[in-house]
Amino acid sequence: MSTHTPAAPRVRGLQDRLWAAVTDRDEHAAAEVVFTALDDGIDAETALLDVIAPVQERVGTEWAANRLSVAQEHAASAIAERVIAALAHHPAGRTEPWRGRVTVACVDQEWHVLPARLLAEVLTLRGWQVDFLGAQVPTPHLIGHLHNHGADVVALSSSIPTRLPTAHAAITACQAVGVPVLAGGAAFGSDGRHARRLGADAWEPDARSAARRIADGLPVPIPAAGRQQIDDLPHLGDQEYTLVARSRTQLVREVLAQLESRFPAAAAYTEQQREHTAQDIAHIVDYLGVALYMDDDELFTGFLEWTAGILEARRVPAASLTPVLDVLGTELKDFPRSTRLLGRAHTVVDAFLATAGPRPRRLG
Amino acid sequence: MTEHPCPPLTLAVEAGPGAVRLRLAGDLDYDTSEQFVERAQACLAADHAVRDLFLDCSGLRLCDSMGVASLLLIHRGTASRGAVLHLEHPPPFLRRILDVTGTLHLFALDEAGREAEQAEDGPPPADARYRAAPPPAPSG
Amino acid sequence: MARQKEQIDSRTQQLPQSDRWGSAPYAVIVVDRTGTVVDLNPAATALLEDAAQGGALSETVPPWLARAHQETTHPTGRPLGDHPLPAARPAFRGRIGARNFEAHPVPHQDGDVAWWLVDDTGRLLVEEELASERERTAFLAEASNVLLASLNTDRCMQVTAQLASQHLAEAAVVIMPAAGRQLPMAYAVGGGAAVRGTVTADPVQVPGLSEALQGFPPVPSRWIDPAALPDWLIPEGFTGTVGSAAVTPLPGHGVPAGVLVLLRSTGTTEFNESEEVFARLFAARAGAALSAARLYAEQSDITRTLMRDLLPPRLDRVNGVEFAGGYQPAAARDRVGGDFYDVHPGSTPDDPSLAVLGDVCGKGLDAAVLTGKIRNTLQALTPMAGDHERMLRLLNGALLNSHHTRFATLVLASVRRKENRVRLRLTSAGHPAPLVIRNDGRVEEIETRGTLVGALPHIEVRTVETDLRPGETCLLYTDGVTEARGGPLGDELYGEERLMRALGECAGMPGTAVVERVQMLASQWLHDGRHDDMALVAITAPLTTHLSAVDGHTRGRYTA
Repeated sequence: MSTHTPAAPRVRGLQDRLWAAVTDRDEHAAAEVVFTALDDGIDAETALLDVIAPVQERVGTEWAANRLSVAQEHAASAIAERVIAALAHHPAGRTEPWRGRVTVACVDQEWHVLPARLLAEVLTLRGWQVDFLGAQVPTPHLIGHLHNHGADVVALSSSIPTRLPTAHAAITACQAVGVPVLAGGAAFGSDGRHARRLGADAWEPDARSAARRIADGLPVPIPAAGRQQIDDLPHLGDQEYTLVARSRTQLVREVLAQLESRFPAAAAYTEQQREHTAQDIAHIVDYLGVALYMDDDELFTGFLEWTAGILEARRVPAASLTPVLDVLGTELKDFPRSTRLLGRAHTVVDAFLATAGPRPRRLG
Repeated sequence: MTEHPCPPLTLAVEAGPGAVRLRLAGDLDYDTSEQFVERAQACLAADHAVRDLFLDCSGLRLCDSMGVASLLLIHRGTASRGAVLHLEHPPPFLRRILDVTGTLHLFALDEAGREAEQAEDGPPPADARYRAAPPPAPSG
Repeated sequence: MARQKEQIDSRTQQLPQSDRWGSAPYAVIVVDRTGTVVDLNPAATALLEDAAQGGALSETVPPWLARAHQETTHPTGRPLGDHPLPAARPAFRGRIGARNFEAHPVPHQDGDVAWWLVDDTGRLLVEEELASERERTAFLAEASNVLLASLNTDRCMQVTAQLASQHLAEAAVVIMPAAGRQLPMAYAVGGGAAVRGTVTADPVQVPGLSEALQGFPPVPSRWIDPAALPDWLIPEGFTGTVGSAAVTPLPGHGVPAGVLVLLRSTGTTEFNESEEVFARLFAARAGAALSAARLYAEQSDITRTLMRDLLPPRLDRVNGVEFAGGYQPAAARDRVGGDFYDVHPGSTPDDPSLAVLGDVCGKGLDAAVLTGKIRNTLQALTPMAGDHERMLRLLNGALLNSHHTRFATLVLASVRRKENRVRLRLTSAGHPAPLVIRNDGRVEEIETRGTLVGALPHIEVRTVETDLRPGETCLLYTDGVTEARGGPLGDELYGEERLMRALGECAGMPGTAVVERVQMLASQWLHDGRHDDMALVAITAPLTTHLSAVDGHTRGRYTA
């Protein structure tokens, strides 16, 4: 959620107090901050988008920088959730629906529910009848809901790029039943290019602009007979995505085995360290897969840059990424698009290491 | 799409005097338990002199709650005629689910099983507690 | 052809003509360079009443043909002279009397031109018909596509009205059989977006409407008096007065799904028979889609009603204790399954609440129905919650069945806030032991154990007590979590050890966050793999010392 609205000193003060409350895991204090502000005349949308959303964004950044624990991060999100729920019952947040009907949902396996939740609340405040289906909505549930209740628009949220293929299936399915889709969330790219690629009817970077776009109205898609995912992404015809996705487990095993034979340190790992390493490799393979799906190099290189940063923040040398890319390169040498992606990623990691200074080539 | 490289559960029967042995190999679950119960009941019905029904579980890969229900149903059959239901070579997961559900005592376990049971049934480990290690890498 | 030949023969007898063209199958008229008719055959005489040898062409044929002759003999205004003539020339077209003709000029060496007049009225009609048939087929295919895409009745009505107003009439109204006193309807004008509404009206007001709603054959539009149509049937945005109307039933699967009313204003053509037939073809498709959508809506209404009691409840704070639940059915299509949980609040803040979490063997709706039975029985037994063993024995007795051994495993938790701590009494009946997350990050397995219920005549259980300090959580879970198969290396069980390690990182988290974290980790572990039902209940002693919902304005409002 964007916070480009000029933060008045008053709003900044509220943000700081809310930040203190959520990181202190004090649900009660967090609620007090928001409700006192409402009683003092701040409107509910401002409370949601200019107080709660920025604080939540800061939680994510601080976690990535390893300044918040997993527990603190989850606790903060849970508290924000409860405050938002309580806000919906506050007199300032009560609105009778007078506009159409919107379904807000996260794609399957998407747990990051807050951006969708905020949009749902903003739409409710602006007079829409909103069906909020929550986190990780399997596509059959979403479509069942549309058949049963209908909707003028589906607002589909996804923050994890690896869910883009699932998002694509959901977008296609909604359009096939004649409901336009507005996509939002970090997964679709900061400029929304992935949303366009997947044929979404609209994309917006934040809740306010999404609400405006929905109010402007989206044309009903004409269900063309037999439109399939590959019609949007003809490069899928080379089957590289399918093959990499299907052999995920074998790739992870192979990379792990090679690392253990090349690096004595890796062979001495505890079971738990080994599993963490395997998980990191699996993430890399997943991102390689989605970059192949979208045919977008930046998806893969961007992820590796981000991971390198995260690893450094957790004092794990980012140099450990290089051998993983090497082994994957050998394993996938017959696949031209994968080879290209791995090569670009190598360049990006090397550049990162050059700026981060020399480090011992060791595995985390 | 639906074809299995091998059947999910295979059953082999060896009948001897007063005893029948069923060898189970594969998954005993929602999809296969009915077939298993029918086969075992047929064995018992075929010979009223059967006093011992041996289930050789060494080839078992999986047993879910429907599998446990099928074992209980067969046990009901053997118990009602005074026969004994033996489990031979129960894999750890089978012993575990029977233990958790409080039904392990219904079955006669073969020697190997009994030894293992004694080893596991000692006093509960004093430290059934875990302390988390700090996360070495992003996984959440 | 035969008739034409006969005509030609009869003319030949009546009028003596040069027999040079007499046997030609078409009318032939020969004209010289100056435009004088030189010769004509009987067919031409029959066709062109005033034609005779020696007459002027311009007085004999329609102007288009006279012009054609002029163009042919003097292209670009210059006499042909001695230039050799091309062998074939393009045909000219036009009407003679009521029919359409192609006129083919065949120039002769002497400068005369023989005009062959070929009647192509039939071919033109067929071509026109073919084009409009193609258009209709394309429209019907598109309509089927759009209509069958949705199982939502509102949407089907709107799409039907919109398409009909675009292709069949100026405005269209779709009316469904009455729900109570109200007629649900959708209308559209000129292919614009359709509007949904309802009207309280008697269908008898519209000729043929109530019959059509009952599925009787349509009333031909020429019998409907447009002036007699009630105002509510005329859509907003329909300008002008209605000149003609057609009422067509939308036949469903054996039952009428609704009615399509088509409206045209005065000054446009009325509905002809072929259009009405076509409207019926469209109505057949729209009716099938509409009735499929209605059947689906009815079925899902029934399912929803029956399932409402089987769905896991939303958990919240009860008597100063936080409860949080999470449920994921095995199949993405299901909403219910064999896992269940409930919290029965204590009747006063000092009475313990009873939390139950369990797992019935089997899956899907079958299992869900058994969970319903267990949940009802347990609710009836809550007054006995002081004695878990007795409660479980009664439940066991109620579930025993001589035909099968479908059992359930469950955990009972009696929960009571005492000052800032929470007292727990926990009993497992054949279920994985509850786990307690202590504030220092230790995770304890509570050592209650017992026999599953519903399969054996006798059960044994052991109840264990423990306390939660503020911030501590007790987690009840079903084995769908620990039996989740996957992981980065594939085909590994998530297992209790991983669960406990993960919970070690959850010290001090609110219960909802613990539940969410475990669900997230299990689902990441599974990647896209198949799993069993998964249910979780977190019981948490709140961190703050505030007792909720009792005092004052702010807190009551917030915790409500």
